[in-house]
Amino acid sequence: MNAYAPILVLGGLAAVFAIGSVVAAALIGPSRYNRAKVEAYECGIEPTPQAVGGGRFPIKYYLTAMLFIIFDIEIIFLYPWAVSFDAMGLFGLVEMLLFALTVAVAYAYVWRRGGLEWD
Amino acid sequence: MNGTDENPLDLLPEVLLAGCAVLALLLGCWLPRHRQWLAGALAVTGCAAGLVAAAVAAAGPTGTAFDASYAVDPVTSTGRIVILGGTLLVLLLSLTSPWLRAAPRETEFYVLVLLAAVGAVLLAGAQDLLLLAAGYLLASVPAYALAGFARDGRGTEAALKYYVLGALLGVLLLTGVTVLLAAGHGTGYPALRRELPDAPVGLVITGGLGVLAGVLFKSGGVPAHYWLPDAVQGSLAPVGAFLTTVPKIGALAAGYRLAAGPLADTGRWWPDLVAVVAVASMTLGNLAAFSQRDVRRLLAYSTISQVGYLLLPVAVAGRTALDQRALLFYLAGYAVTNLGAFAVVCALPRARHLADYRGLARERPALAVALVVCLLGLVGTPPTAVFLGKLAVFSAAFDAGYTWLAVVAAANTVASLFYYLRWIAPTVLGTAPPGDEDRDGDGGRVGNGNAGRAGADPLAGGHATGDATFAGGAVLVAYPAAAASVLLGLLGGPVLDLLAGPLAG
Amino acid sequence: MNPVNYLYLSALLFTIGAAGVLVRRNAIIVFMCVELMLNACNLAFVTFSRIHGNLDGQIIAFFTMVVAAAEVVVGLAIILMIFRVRHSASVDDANLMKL
Repeated sequence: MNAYAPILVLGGLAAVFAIGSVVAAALIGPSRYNRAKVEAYECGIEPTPQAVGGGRFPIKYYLTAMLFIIFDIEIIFLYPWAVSFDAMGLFGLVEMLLFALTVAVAYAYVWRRGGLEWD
Repeated sequence: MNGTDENPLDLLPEVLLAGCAVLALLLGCWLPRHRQWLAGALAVTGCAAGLVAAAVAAAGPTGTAFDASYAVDPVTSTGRIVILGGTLLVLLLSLTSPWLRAAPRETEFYVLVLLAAVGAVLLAGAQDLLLLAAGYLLASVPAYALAGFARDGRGTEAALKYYVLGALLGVLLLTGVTVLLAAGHGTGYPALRRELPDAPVGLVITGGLGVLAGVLFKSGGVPAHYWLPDAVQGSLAPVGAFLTTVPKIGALAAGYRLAAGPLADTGRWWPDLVAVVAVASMTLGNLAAFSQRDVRRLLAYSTISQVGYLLLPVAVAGRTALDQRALLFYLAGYAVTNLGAFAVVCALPRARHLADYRGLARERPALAVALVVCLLGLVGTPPTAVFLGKLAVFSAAFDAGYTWLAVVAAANTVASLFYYLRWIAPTVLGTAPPGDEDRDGDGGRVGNGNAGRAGADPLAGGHATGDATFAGGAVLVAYPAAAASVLLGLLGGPVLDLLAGPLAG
Repeated sequence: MNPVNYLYLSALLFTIGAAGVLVRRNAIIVFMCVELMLNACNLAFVTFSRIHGNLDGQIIAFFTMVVAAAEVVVGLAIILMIFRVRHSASVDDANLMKL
């Protein structure tokens, strides 16, 4: 049980922060209403009776989602290294740096080729 | 983490290839359109440097790298040299392809070729099921993109078929790995070799079947061959050359390593099963090739039947002293001969049907000679390399007690002569009809002979292979490849001796 | 809990995925079924890792996840491409090339 105590503390801290910020915002934040505030979402797709283009989403959403998946999943390789980086020493560090560099090259490629531009 | 064999220099050829791929990608992002060929030049340089490194490693001692997960032995070394040499030829074919040189994504093509080649090399050297699975996917994923590179109707269809089958068989491979892991309590081949003979036979056979499915997909053997004709016909000619040559080398080397290592002492099911698959592959490939009119489709079915012969040494691995040399020599001979035939196809981008080759001997005698040498080489005519390879492969099957297999393979070889002759005959004997695309017109004008046929046959319509009727650069590959195919056959004895040597681990 | 139960679950997922690949015609659903089979493999890997008491299976599961993501992205790109050319995502409509 002792080993899990930090997790409980962390959970408590998170709860305090979440509740605290909501309450603080309600108490001390200025409340100026505008159009965006009364819509269902403050970001993302505009809610319309029918989705844009007759039930279809623009293809850019899928492209962005695909790019996100790729870069998101690559992080997984950092976990085993993070757990045992002291045992792997310099070799592991250099290996991980090379890995991160390769991912960065992929990112640079996407950026240069316009994969991140919305229009 | 025992740290004894973690020397990155053991993997120098692979590192060079991968490094060049990353650099070329970066380079291509900042180069203006008309200088993108520099990325191709970098890729060629990387391949050549990798070849040198592989040759140096081949002369060095046999051993394993990275916790015995990667073997550095004659199979890996030959695999590296043949794969890198084949990739080099494909890159040269691409650099001389007018369509590709004008494509907006030229750099990406070279990068994808390099990455798929790295995957094939990893397959050849993998001594761990994890690395085998990783190599399979690294060899597959860029290849899917290559198949659909032209982004036209047939290219996308080829990519879709290739992908769906590849994804499915990739899962089967992983399932096989799962089951072998369950049976052998590990993924390293040395450990599996110790454990598998005592494991339940059903588990071992199930696992072996799954892994075999992956190997067959990558090599294009029956029953996992459905993607190959469509992918070769629908994609660009250099991609067809790549898909029918490079991944095969890695996959067959991987199959051999599995058969000679972990599965060696698990009973007779492996040789019997692979023998049946080999017979099915060579027979069905030949039967389907008889009726083809599209040259690329014909070459695709021809490679399916060649995989049948190449599976013979995989079937009898470890049961005869000749198996390894036979496989490696045949692979080298097949790679160079097949690439030579594809180089001729690349040189005549408008000629898609057998009839389009009518009169080639008169119009372009040298190219016709190269084509005939390569086609006769694929049949196995002495003194070409494939002849010697086939001889070695048949002897290996005979040695191991599979006489019937050798007989069936020999009969298939004779039968295959027929469809290669269907291509050779119009090339040598026919005369070109007026206005045929083979005619050396003024600066690459489109022949109306082909246009007429294209109108009659929907298969011939509108593939974007460029406007030129003759891509002169491809002969730079066709002639050396044809010459190498003969030369390798003539020097067969000493080369065969070079390929001997124990497996690592 | 008996780890063998996870193997049953894995086999069940694998069967569902395999049936879907063989029966369904929409390319996206075929991909989803392939993913299901991959995850069945992953579950089996982790379970065997637990049963054997070593980490081999877990490492493979890591690789499978990453590689599956890369594969599925390429697959989605191919579907987008074929949809642009053909306006259909059915694998049966891909029939430009026949014998």
